[in-house]
Amino acid sequence: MVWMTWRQHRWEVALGLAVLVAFGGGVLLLTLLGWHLMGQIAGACPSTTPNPAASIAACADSTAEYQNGFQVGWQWVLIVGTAIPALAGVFVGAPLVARELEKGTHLVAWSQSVPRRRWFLARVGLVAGGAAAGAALLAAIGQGWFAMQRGTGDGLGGPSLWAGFEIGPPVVIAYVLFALALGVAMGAAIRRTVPAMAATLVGFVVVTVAVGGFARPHYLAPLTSRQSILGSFSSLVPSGSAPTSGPGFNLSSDWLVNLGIGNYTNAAGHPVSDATVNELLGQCNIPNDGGATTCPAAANGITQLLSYQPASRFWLFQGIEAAIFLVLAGALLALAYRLVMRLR
Amino acid sequence: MTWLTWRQHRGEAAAILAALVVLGVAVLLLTVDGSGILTTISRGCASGVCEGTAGNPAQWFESGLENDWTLVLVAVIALPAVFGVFVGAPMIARELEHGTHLVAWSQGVTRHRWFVSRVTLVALGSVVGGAILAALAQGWFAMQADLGNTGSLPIWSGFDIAPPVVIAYTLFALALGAAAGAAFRRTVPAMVVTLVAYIAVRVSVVQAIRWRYLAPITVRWPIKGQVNSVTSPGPSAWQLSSGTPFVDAAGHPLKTAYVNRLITQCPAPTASCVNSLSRVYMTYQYQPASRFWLFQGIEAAIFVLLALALLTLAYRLVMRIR
Repeated sequence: MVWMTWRQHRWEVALGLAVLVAFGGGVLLLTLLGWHLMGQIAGACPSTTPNPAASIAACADSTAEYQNGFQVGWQWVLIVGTAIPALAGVFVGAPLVARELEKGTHLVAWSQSVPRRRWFLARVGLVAGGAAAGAALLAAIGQGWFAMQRGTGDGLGGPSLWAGFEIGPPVVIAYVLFALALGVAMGAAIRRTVPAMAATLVGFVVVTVAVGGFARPHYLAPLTSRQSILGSFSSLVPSGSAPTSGPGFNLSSDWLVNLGIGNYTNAAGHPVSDATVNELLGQCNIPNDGGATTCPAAANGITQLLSYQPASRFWLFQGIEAAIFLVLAGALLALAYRLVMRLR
Repeated sequence: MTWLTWRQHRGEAAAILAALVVLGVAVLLLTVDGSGILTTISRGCASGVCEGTAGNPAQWFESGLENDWTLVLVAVIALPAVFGVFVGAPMIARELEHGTHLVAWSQGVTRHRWFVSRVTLVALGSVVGGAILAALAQGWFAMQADLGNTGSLPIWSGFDIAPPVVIAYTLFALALGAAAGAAFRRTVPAMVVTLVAYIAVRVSVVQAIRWRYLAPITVRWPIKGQVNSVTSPGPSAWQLSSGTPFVDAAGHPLKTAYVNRLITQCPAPTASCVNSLSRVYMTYQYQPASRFWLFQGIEAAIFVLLALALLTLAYRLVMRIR
């Protein structure tokens, strides 16, 4: 069975290796380039004391080069990194059982004294093992890239810690195994290749979006922080929608779960309506000459309640999410196994 | 053949219809939700503050709806590819792989008719689906454009979800799937090839070709002049990133380091200093908003032509099967 599984899947293995080499190699190369550029930036850019003008020019040059080349690259790595598990499920997991059942080729093996149990376990086990190994390698390379991007710090607009949650190694491996198991289960249930592939894609997107959007913020109860509605916002923050810092809160490493709009209270602790806040802020005077903004005194004590997940929970959350998807994968494989054993 | 094609593809039609309904409801909800917030914003702006203060509804709009919008955007961009992979590729490949085409061919249906009726009907359905999809996305885009200069997306950022190109992408994906299916005659490899080729063509057109449809407008001004007097192309223009922002009088690029050296060697405005700097110009290129629909037409034409070429290839391949 090992030999047959290898013969049936060697093209997929070759394709998977090609993706690994092309994508992984590219990312690895970019990571090294990025570290090199950052070394140049650190060497050229003045930290506290004013440097010679020539050095400032070199600093601006390498900074611009870094930002032009790498901030776009970050998006692409994230997109490809999140797409790979889905592709593994659709193109490897779903045909694994469905194609055999659709064409009847499973009967050849079953009628040659290979029991169904062995047929199922050998094929699923080998493919899952290979996919998990590939995913671990890619995730490790992606993590190197992420560490390089994070190393740039806030000055160069590196990504926040939680922005890389979906490419963290534990969850990537769990996603890949879940996608494969989903494909196998869909194949065993539907027994037709193309519908099984489509169902796998839809199922994977629905489950990951639902878990990421609804379940993930609540793995542990978020911490809360009260922020004044005045003065805590900086125009340097992209889209200007989040406070840069405050008591116990750090934008570059914590995950802002809820901005706290509609959660206003005044100095005495009584709730304040959105309309009141909007009206008060509408009375603020913003001078055209760049002077300080003045707002009505009533706005001073009003705070909004932010809820966030701190950076210290990142790896715990990775573990929880990986465990959820591994349990789901196990359940789906058990279902697929039962379905295959019950075929007649 | 119409009846057969319908029977073979009604499951796909139902699935696509369901996807469109889900997406459509999501976009409609977002549009209604967004209009409510926009009303709040316009009230707030009327009283004097639009930007820079906490609790501002414009920020609320961005933080709350932008995430949902990203999902819709990704869905609209991905759907043509999904369509090509799951409908286009199996349309021919599955028949050839299973040998079911022989049933039709041996019952007095010519290959020509088999191919043309199958492709025409599915292509027609795909054009209708693509048009509905694009119309939905366009509704949202028009709604958020009401935000005005403070927070709305520039017109060019919606290029990939505007109706002409979405329809053309859908046709192209379908034709690509048909050609890959006719060439490989096996379903799963044809699907993989369709996905990879679709992404490769789309990305290379976006990155390397789109901005060259018409020569971009170049703005140039001497660096020793007043920066204020430079005319900005406005937020609705598509500003292209050029390699270097500095050129000499003939338009040849100058290294940033060279210009910086000129500036630093020139602390006082002496005559020779001003002379050397007067040969340096700053520059950038852009495509104006007025070219948006022209570019849409050009890109749609390119993809429709590609689709026709691929369909011809698929037709020839099918006619040559023995």
